Amino acid sequence: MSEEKNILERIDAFLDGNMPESERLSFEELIGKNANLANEVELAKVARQVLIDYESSKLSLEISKDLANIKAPQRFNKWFIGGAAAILLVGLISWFSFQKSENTSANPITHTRQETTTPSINQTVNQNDNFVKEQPISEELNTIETKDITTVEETTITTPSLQDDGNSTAEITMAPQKQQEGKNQQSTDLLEADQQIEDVGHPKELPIVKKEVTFEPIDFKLKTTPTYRDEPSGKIRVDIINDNGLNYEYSIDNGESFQRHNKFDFLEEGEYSIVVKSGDQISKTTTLTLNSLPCNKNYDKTYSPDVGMNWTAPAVADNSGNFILQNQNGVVVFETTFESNDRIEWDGISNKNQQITSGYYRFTINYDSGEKCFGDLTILR
Amino acid sequence: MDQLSVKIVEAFKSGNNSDALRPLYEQALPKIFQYVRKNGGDFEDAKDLLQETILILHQQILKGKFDQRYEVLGFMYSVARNQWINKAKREKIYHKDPEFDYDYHHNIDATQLGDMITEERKTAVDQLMEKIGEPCKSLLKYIVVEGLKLEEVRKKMDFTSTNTVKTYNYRCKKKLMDMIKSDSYYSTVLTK
Repeated sequence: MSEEKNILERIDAFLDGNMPESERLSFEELIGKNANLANEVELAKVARQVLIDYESSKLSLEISKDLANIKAPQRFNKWFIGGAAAILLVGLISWFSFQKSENTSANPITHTRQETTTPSINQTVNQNDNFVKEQPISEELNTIETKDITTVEETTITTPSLQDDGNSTAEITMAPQKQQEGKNQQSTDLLEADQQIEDVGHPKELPIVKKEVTFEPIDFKLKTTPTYRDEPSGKIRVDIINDNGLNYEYSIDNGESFQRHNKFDFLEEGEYSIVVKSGDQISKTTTLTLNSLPCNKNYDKTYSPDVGMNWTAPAVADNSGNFILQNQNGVVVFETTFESNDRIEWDGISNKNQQITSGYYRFTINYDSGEKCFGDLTILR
Repeated sequence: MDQLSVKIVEAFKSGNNSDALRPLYEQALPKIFQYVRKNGGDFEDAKDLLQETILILHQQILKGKFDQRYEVLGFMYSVARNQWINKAKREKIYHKDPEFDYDYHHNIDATQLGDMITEERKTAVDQLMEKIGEPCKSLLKYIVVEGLKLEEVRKKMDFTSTNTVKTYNYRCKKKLMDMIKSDSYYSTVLTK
C-alpha cells in the first residue's frame, strides 16, 4: 500500500507542477515506458476533472437561480419620454399657479390633500409640501392636481387650530369623499377622496398638518443553539415576526450594543437580554439562558481504524456514564461505561469483536447526571 | 490583470462563487445583452450566453489554465462572441456585427470552448460524488479544487493531525479512481 501511496503522491506532484525539473523529466520518461503508470496518470487526470465538473455543476445551478430573478431592462420609448415631459410641464404650471394664488388672499381658501395613504403606515407631513391649494374651477390645472389620488382611508391628523394664537391643535378625521359638485368635472372621475380644510382665520398662512405616528410594536422570535464546553459556539438568531421591511438592529446585551445582523455566533453559556430596534422604535427585552452541551466540540468526526490509532469520544471531564455507538439503522455496535475522568477510547472493534465497516454512525454519551451528548462519526476503511 | 479580475479569479478558486458572480452580472450581462440584441437575440439569449461563458471561465480558472495576463471581462466577451457566432450559424440567426463594444479582445483557443459539461457527464459526475460521500467530497474539494494546504484542511475538517489528512487524501483519491476504473459506464462517459 505504501508504494501505491508513494506513486499517487508523485502523480499528484506531477499534475500540480510541483516536481523539480529533473524529477519531472525522469517521471515523464517513466510514463513513456510504463503503460500502467501512464494509465494511472490519465485516471488521476479524469478524477481531477470529475471534481472540477462537480463544482461547475453546482455553480451552474447557482447561476440559473440568480438569472431567473434578473429581468430585462426597461427600454425608454418616445411615449414614455413624452409622458414624463408632460407630467413635468404640468407640475411646473401647477407650481406657478400655486404661487399666484397665495397672493390672492381675499378669497376663502380650500386645501385639497394630494396623497395616498393606508391606515397602517402614517408619517408626519408638512402641509406646505403635501397639500396644494385649489384654484377656481375655471382654471384647468386642478384636473392634474388630483390625478394621483386613489383611495384614502380614515386617518387621524393633528393640525394647528384656526384660533388667533395659532398654537393649539385640533384633530380632524379624514374619510374618503367625492369631490364637491360644481368643481372641475374631469377631476371628479379620477378623484376617489380628498381632504378639505376650511381656513377661516389666516388665509395667508398654510397651517402645519401633522399625522400622529403609530407603529406596531416590534415582535420577534428566537432560535438558540447551545454551546459546547470546550469552545464558545452557542448561537442566537432573532427573527422579526411583523417585519415591515424596515432596517432593524439587534442587541443581546440589553441594548448596550447593536448590530445589523440578526445572528450572533460564538457565544458562551449564560444569560442574554435580546432587544431589537428600528429608528426610534425599540422592542421589549427578552431574556434567555444559553445552555452548554456536556460535550467537547473538537473531536475527530471521521475515524479510520486502519491507521492504527484509537478514536476518542468527546466526553467532558468529571462525569461518569455510558457510551453507545449505533449504525444508521439504530443497531448498537459498541457500548461501554466510563468513570469520572476516564477517556473513552475506541479501536473500531465492535462488542462482538468484529471490525466495524465504513459508514455513518451516531453516538450517545449518557452521563449519570442525566445529561446527554450526541454526535456523528464516519468510519472510513 | 486588473483588480476586478484578481478578485473574480480568487473568489472562484476559493469557492466563494457569489463574490465572483456579482460583478459579472453587473458588468458583463449588460454588455452581452447589448451585443446579443444587436445581433438578433433577446435578453434570455444574453442570460444563456452569460451562463455558458461563466462556466467556461470557471473551468479555466479551476484547471489553472486561465491566462492571468488577461482581464476576466475581456476573456468573457471573447468567449461570448465566439459562442454567439457558433449559435448564430447553427440556428441561422441574423448576425450583422460580431464586434463587442469593448476595447479589449484576445483570441480564444477553440479547445477552450469545448469545456461545456454534457448532461450525460453531469449525471455521471453527480453519481460518483454521491457515492464517494463525506468526508471525501469535502476533503478532495479543499485539496484538489481549492488547493488548500494540509494544515488548512486539518483545521477546516477538525482532523487531529496533517498525517490523518494525508492518509484520507490518498484513500479518497484512490477510492474515486477505483470507482471510475471499475465501472465501464463511468470510464466511457468521463474519458470521452
